[in-house]
Amino acid sequence: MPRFLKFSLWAGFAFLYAPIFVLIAYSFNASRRGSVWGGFSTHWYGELFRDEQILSAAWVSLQIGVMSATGATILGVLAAIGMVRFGKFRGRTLFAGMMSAPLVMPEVITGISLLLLFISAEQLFGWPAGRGMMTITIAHITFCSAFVLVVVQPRMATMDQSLEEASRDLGAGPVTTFLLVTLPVIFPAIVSGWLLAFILSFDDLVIASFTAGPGSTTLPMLIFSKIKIAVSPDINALATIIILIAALGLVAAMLLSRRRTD
Amino acid sequence: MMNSGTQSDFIRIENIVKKFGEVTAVNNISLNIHQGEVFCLLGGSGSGKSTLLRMLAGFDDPTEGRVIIDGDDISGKPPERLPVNMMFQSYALFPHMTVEKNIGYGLRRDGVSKAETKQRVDEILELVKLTPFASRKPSQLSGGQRQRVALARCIVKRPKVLMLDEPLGALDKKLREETQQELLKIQRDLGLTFIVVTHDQEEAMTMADRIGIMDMGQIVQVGPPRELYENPNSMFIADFVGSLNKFKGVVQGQEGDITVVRLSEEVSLKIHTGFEHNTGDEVMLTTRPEKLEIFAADSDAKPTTQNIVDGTVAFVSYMGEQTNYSVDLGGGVIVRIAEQNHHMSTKVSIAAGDKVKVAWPARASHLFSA
Repeated sequence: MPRFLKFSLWAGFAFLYAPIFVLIAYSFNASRRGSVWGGFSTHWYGELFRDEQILSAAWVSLQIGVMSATGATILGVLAAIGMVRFGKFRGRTLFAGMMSAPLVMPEVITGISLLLLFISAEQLFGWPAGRGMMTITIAHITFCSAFVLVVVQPRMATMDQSLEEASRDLGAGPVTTFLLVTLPVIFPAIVSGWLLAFILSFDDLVIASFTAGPGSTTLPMLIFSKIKIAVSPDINALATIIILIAALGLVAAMLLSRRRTD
Repeated sequence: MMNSGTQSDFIRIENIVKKFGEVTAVNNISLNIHQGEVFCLLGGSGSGKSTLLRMLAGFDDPTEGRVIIDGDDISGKPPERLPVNMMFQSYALFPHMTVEKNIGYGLRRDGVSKAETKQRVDEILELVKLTPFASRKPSQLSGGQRQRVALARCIVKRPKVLMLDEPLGALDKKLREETQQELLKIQRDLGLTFIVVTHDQEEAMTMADRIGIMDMGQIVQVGPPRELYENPNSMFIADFVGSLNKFKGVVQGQEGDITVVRLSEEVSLKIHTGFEHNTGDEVMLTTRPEKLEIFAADSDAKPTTQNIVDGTVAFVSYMGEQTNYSVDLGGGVIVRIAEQNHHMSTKVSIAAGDKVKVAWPARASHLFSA
């Protein structure tokens, strides 16, 4: 029944993407009222780029995204090395479980627990002093590193281990071998892990809300606070841009993880 | 490049044992390998041959015993500090580097200057006929070319010993013969010592100066290919190398050098093994198919072998260069005979069901205790 199958396919796509297309369409709406179509216009995009508040929130989000993606990638890759290269060490199962727990942990709980941690750490050691970009970044690193691990570990596990042995055999020490052979071979996975972490961090509202402080409003936080008053059309434009960035990032991550090195 | 003469104990493997938990992979092997020879470790999977090779290359430490290469005890040293190189079964070429970079990798790690590396890489590229491919990536090469890059990457370092793990395993049959000869030519020209690990007895027979046959973590017999084939010291070796006729029999008696063995009611054979055997012993009698000769029953030929046995052809299979016959000698004794098909052969007419004579030389068989 190919007709039925075709119909189901398009129904499925519509279910998934119709809201997004509606949003994109409305971002080009000339009307000020969100629910009425007033003709095509790119007015709201221009408005968007004149809005200091939005631009600074975007800048905050971008910085946090880059820092936390980088931090999460370092931790995730180190964890992957531990999981793949150190055999069946004591507590490996526990380690694997602990590393991937943030994948299934409700964000609200991650947010509250991190907030409590930051507050008590501040009381005990005086660091981190107050909450802001630093605390959001730390929070994002904790849950993003689990995603990086999930992306990098399979790549590392399927890497021909004789490549590393060949490198040792040809006279390279373990560190040189890692830098010159292992790292380049798993590089595509590292890049897609980084991109995934960046997008997760850029998108995050819940954890950021718990761990943010004055002056560290991220873009999702700003959007959320704005639509509490009214859905203003410039938010549609902003959302469209974010969708575009996220889509590009995901496609890039997919292409990279698919690319074969041999 | 080669030192004068051959050192007969260039590599000394002394009572080496490797255990993985409860499993003993290599069980007390002692072995000397000469400088400039091609030594083959031949064995099935799980025989311990790869474990032994990995210990020689420094990837695994022996549980007991030691390995001495050119006077140096290598035990406990990491692979990067050993004067040996390994050609991996998968070739293990670095996928992100060009052919040139792959080959130069080992030299750069040894602190050889860029200029000298370039020069030596160019020389080796010339030697393995890969100069036009210098700037290609491994993924852009054929199987045979990759194999040559892997070889070049090792020999450019002028190792004292080159280990080859199933060096021809990934190549198709035509390419194998060609590559094998190239490999041996380079080995001779550079005076390298080769240790080859393989499960393919044909590969071992054609390449090796000496073969060590491994089973259950031990070396069962060491010797030149001819010796292993002609004078196997056990039923295992006889069966492992080449094809074989095996029969259960009973020793009937000893007449001087000749042992009479009865295989069935109808078939008794005179065998010359160089040993005396006790009457009544149950034995396994083995013979290579090509040692026997087949004649039509009405042929004029007068074979002079001690045994001429009558039989009936059960099966003929034409293999191109040779023809294989299965001959029923009576009493359930069926022997396989292989004959070369030279163009003068008069045996083309022999077919299934024909009565034949089998010429069976006394020295063509071995006896093993059953």
